[in-house]
Amino acid sequence: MTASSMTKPQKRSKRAKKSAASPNNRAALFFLAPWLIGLICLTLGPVLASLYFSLTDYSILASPNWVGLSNYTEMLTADKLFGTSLKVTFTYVFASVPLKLIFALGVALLLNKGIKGLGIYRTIYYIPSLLGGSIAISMLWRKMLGGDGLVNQVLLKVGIHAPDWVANPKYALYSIVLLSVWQFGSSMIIFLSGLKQIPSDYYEASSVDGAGKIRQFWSITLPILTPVIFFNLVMQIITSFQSFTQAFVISNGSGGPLNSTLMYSLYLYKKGFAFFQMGYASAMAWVLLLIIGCFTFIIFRSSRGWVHYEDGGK
Amino acid sequence: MIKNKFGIVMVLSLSLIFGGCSAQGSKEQPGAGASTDNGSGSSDSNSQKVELRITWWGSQTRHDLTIKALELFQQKHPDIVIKPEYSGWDGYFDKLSTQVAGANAPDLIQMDYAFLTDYANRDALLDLDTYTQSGDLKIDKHDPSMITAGTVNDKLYAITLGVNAPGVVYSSKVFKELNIADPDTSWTWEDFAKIAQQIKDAKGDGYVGAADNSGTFNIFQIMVRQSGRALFEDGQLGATKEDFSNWFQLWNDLRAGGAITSPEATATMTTALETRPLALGTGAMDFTWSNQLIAFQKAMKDSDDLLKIQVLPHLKGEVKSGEYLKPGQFMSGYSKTQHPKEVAMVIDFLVNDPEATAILGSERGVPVNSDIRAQMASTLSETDQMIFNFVDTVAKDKSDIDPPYPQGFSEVDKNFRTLSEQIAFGQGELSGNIDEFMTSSNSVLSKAK
Amino acid sequence: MAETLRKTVWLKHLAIMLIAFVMLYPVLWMVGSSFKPNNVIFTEIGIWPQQWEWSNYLAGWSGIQGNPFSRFLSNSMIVSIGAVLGNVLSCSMAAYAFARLSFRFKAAAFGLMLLTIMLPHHVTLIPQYILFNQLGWVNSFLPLIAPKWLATDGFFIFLTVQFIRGLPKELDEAATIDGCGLIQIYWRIVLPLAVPALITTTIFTFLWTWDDFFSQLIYLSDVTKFTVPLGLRLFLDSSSQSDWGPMFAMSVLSLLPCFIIFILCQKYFVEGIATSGIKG
Repeated sequence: MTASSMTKPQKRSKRAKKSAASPNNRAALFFLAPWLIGLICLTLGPVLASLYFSLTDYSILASPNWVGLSNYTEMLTADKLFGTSLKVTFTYVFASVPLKLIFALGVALLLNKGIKGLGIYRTIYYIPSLLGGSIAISMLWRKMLGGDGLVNQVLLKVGIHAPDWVANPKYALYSIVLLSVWQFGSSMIIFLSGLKQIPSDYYEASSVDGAGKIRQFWSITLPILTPVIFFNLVMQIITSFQSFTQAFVISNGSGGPLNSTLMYSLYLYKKGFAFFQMGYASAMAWVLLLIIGCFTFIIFRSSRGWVHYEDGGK
Repeated sequence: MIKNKFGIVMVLSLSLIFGGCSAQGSKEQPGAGASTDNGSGSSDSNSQKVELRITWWGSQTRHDLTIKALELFQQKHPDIVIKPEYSGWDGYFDKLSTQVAGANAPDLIQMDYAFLTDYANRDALLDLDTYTQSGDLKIDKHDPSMITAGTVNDKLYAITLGVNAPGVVYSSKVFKELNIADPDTSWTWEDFAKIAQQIKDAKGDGYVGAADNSGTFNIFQIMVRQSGRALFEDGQLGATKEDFSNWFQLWNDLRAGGAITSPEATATMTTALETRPLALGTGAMDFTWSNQLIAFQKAMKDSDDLLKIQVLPHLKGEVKSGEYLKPGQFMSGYSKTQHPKEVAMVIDFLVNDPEATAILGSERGVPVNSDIRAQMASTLSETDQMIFNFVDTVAKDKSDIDPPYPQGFSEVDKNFRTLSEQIAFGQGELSGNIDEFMTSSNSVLSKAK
Repeated sequence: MAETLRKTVWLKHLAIMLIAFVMLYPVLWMVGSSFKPNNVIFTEIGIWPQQWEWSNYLAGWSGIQGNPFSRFLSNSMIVSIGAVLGNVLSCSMAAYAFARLSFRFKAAAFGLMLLTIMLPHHVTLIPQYILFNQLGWVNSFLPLIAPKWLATDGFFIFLTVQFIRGLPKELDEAATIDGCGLIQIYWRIVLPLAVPALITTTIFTFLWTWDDFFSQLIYLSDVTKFTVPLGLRLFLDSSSQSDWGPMFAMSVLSLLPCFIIFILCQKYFVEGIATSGIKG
């Protein structure tokens, strides 16, 4: 029953699409004008400049000299830390993105409706994200996960001697993964606003049909939420690959201990600003863009199979 | 409803933007009333007021003192306007290099020893020799080693704002409690190790003799100097493999006895003094620069515990004294400044003027001008007195400072820290790790040349 | 049936409250630290101060060199609100075009938009600085606000596109039959229905701008123009001496506007929008 109510509007809107197929180039130009001006005047120049810098020895302080592809070849053949930072970043992305999204979706469902004091809970749950990358976070994280931090004191009471989770090279990265999961607020908000878009009569209709809560979730909530899940997935992958602040703050900018938290963007920043090799850093940025681009492309491709838009498009 | 909101919103933000615009516009013309009657003093042919921008990093105290000194300068030179741009340490050099890239850096720049070569080599800094010759910037009373420290490729680029000396800082309370005699100026690395172990053994778990400083490159540098070499020579590493293994062996032995912080505890320490074991009350000794003594004392958890400082330990049979006086911070000019002469005047004022130096005190270190130092001696606080005496002690037994660090230093410095972590956490074996570090550092350095 | 229902509700509450405590801990800790003297902030484990240091707030509020902390707050307010308004308007316009209109080079434009999100901003920072410097905008709020009016935050375009595409297209068609133009459809139908997306844009833009240290550091030099993140860093000099107490006190204080914005905005998620009955 629910399935049929899903497909009906889709069919109709396909017809609608044909009727509206005459391109509205002029109107589009109007609506895109701010973006286009921004793109041409503010964004495109610096983007192309960084592409050019990646082929030079630009040091920030002096003007660049052309070096061809040598930044790229050095990165792929000689730079051990480049490999380290890639490994760290991939581990981080594959650990944090799924955890964070599942946690955020779960909490969003929990906080969607039917509980007193929802607003207060939502605010409380958003608090970790409010703190962002502030200086206090690094101290706090050490207080909680450090050698004699809160977590270890609790563990000690049950007789477990635990390591320093932040300063041990084996665990340091996972303490940052935990931090990013703990700051799940933004994804939660996006899920919440997605849930708000589901017309309540969908649920009413299916209750009449005798569908249980769990079936409603799979047949109504999840399908309608797919555009938002898709968005969160894409954005989380993009931002996690670029993740900088948390590792920077927790490791005091060093990516330590033992380069175990040397995220790609952190290494890139160090190369560019601390070691004055902006040319090399730019090359790194374009390699990262390629990597992220591939992942995004794959997700976009796959989305045709699992993302359902109410406007009937794919 | 929503429509109205958006209307208000748009008007509001548009006015914001244009408001911002006009504010900027009026600011663009310094001394808009160009017909100032003040043509004296400055050598500039026009009668406009000269506007200089100056930037530095530091704490509240430093901001207050520096601004006061600059106000005094402006009183004495009404034709020069100085606009201060100050901040904390975080991001200071990121911003500075961005400004240099935009050809928009301040005229006067507080510079750090570690970055001097990077900036000077790329012509970002003003060559000050012209002005020392013309007499606008007097350096005859300055410690010669401080002039060497500010010289890159035979040109003077930076004037020292305060002189520092490296030392071992320790808790007088713990030393007294355990009946350990204060170390004297002739103590050796063995003595240091012995004391650290003694403290650890007496105090038991949870307390260490010293903070692990095996990753601090410029303390290692002292030991290299004691062996008669320089850390860098001809743009390559000057330290030998033996220097490295001796250094790390020393710390490895201490670590094995639990006399220094565990690798994990070491990884938790930052440059912020509040994170050092000495300040936290979990360790008795640490390495520091003399100008940090006051801040260190303030950061102490146990504020009754008075800190003392002693010269760095000596190497048995050392070739020469390893210690040297180091500039705390420099003041430099920006190479593209419109008013180089005035820049030189301000620098001169900050280091040579009796009144200005009296205001600035020893916040950035001991004054570089020997006359000023003598003049200030009578008005010092107790801690200041200790710092001045300490710098004097070191000055008597120092050897010449090496030339400023080569280009590429920051990357080598970071790799040295990683090397020390590899050794502390027991990753790989010592000799191989050192070999790898030396090869990669030399390749970084030759590329940067 | 009613029994088990009550039980699950009770369990739900318990879970929510437990997580809430973990989430609340940092703020309690920050508030606690803001009342501690400088030299024990790093060592005292508990949240509750053993010795109350009220002067942290006074010292923090009085700011630095005749620049009270309130100035940093109001500067941050101007920048954040300017950014919010810009983002909401410009990103929703672009999103409407991407989601609803068909035009030439649409796929390419959308790809380009995504591409600009993917490039790490550290490498575009310097060319951007040079650009703004030539426009004479450096040391004003313009480099922080103007780009938002030109939809340079692809994140929010993409977000809003996803929401608009979640709205049934019949609405547009019905409006077209009623004689509405595209601008009216955007303004009267799409925007009101995309309120959750706009609210999300508002919250994120506000908070991210409020928190953003790096670009504000680069573009603002004059202390009178400093914003909260820069003001807070003024208390710290990791190379020598830091005033942690006042820093914490002002960190706590500067969280207040964020709380207020969040509480005001999250209401829209509670009430939701009456989308029922829209579908044919």
